[in-house]
Amino acid sequence: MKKKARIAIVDDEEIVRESLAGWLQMDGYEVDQASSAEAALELLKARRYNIIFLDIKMPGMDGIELLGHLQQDDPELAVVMITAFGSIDTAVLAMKRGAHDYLLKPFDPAEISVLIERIIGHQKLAEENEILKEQVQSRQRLESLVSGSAAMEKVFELILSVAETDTSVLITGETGTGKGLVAKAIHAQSPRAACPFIAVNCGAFTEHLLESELFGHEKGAFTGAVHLRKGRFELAQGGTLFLDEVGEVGMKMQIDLLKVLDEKHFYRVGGSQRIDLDFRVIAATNRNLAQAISEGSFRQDLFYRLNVIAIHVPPLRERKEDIPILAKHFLKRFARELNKPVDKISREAFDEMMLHDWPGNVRELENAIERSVVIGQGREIGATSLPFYQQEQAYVPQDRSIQEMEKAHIIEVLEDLSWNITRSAALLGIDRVTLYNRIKKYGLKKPSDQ
Amino acid sequence: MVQAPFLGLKPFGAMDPDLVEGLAGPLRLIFPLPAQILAASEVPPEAFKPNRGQHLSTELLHHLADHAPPGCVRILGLTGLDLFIPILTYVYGEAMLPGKAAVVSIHRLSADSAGGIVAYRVLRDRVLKEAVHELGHTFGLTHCDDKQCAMSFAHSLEQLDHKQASFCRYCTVLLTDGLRLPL
Repeated sequence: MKKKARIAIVDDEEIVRESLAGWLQMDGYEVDQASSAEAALELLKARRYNIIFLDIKMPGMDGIELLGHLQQDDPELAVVMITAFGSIDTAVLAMKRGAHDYLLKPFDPAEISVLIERIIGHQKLAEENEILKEQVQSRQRLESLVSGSAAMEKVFELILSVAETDTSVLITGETGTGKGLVAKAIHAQSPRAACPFIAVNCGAFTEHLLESELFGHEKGAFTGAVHLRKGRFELAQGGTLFLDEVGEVGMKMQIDLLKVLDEKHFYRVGGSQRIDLDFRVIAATNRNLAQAISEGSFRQDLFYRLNVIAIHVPPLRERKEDIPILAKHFLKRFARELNKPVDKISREAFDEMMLHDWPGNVRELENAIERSVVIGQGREIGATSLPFYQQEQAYVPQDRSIQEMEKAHIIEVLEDLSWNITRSAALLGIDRVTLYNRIKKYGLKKPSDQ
Repeated sequence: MVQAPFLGLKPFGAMDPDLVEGLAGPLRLIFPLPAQILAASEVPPEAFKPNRGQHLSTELLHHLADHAPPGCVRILGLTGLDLFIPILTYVYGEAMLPGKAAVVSIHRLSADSAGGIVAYRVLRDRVLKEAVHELGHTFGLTHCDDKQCAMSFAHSLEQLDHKQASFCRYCTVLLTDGLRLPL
């Protein structure tokens, strides 16, 4: 079984084209032929090729002129000039103008085989390099999914059961809970694990840039599109595409996204070449998409397309039993990475961590431990080195009773939220009636009522 | 009476009969067709191309396909002539992909690395490997990346000696697929 690469032969001599095409087909390549430079340009509008074998002497536009056009359109395209004895000088000129190599007709079978293998090999390496760069950039530490809680155990079970399938997954959860890690874990356990995991943060792009980021673009598709660029859809071929912060995708792009997922093919921006889709989609959001649908800012049909399987990653405050395990895990990692002799967390620091609400979730804990390791002097992390310690000490005076602390907390929340009872009750974790009762009990009054 | 399908082995011009007969048994083990040795025939004169001083293998393929006897569902030509296709300086053989005819030349297979003649045993192995390779093409198989597989493309005699006269597990499956098609 041989790789499937695509090769075009541009030569005005039919016997040369037929002979080379037949031989390349034996080698498992997909081959197209063009009898003139003009026909070649038409061919290239519809498909992309790994290699072009280009005859130098042709009636009309010759090979050298065509080479110039090809180089302008796609500098990465490998063009091999083919020439009869006597036009070597022209072949050398073509090399200077960007041709990959040249061959004298007729070719030595060993020479052409080695040349093709070398070109395809380089292209494969370049593509792998691009994918690796992508993976390094979006690298998330899988081991950070360390947990001992029942809530996360359910998440792990779901990861394992959905990994084997090819269905779309929507991961929900607050910022910092590790949605990206869950996506990566699904990919790592799936039959697509050997292929790329491509993440795209949909919230980090304007709609126009996101379109180009996902679909890629042809050279000249818009101002600034100087070269052809493969999009994330193409880079994810065979693997998994992770659409992070999918709730931030604009309405127009939602329609395009749905169309791609429905039709299972796409076109680069400014391109006419159909590219079939072969990747699994995992999306994540910290938004309440049901609410976004009712507000008209997210399409229901796209939601159903993405939400075939739903995984909710609980916030850290709802699984506090994970805090010591995660803290020890991060301590070990940062001590090693930063080469610091820290190997303990004090009882007081653990107590503070258990009391903290962790609005930034696992990411906040990770950052807190990293900071503590960096500024720590001894072998032990103390409570004072935790970033939130100072703020909370100032916020909660130590000599107050529980009732006084509750009153102070309610006042602060009400003032922060301009005395909006519904939102304040939600933030305090109590119902509105209970909040009214507390307001009455503590004799609190809105500033405007005083 | 309908003739049972068979694989024809057709010498072009003078060929060592032992070499031709020696192919029948091993090919029978690889392809599920009995092999029959056909009468040798003259090389069609149009196959010779004076500008190259070689014989165009494609002409031999068409001749073989056009002159196959009834029941001969695959035909393998064997020749001592130096073969070429227009775009290559030489070929060890050529086949229709897929199709009825294949041809193998021993012209370049008998050389050793020092420019001498190889032992008969080595030549016999090379001819068998080339025969399996070209016949594989007639069943729709393309070149294989596994350098041990008979369908790997050998662009040197060293590589030809390195590979086996049998198919890798993928090509074995693909051959089974090819055999399901009408012969």
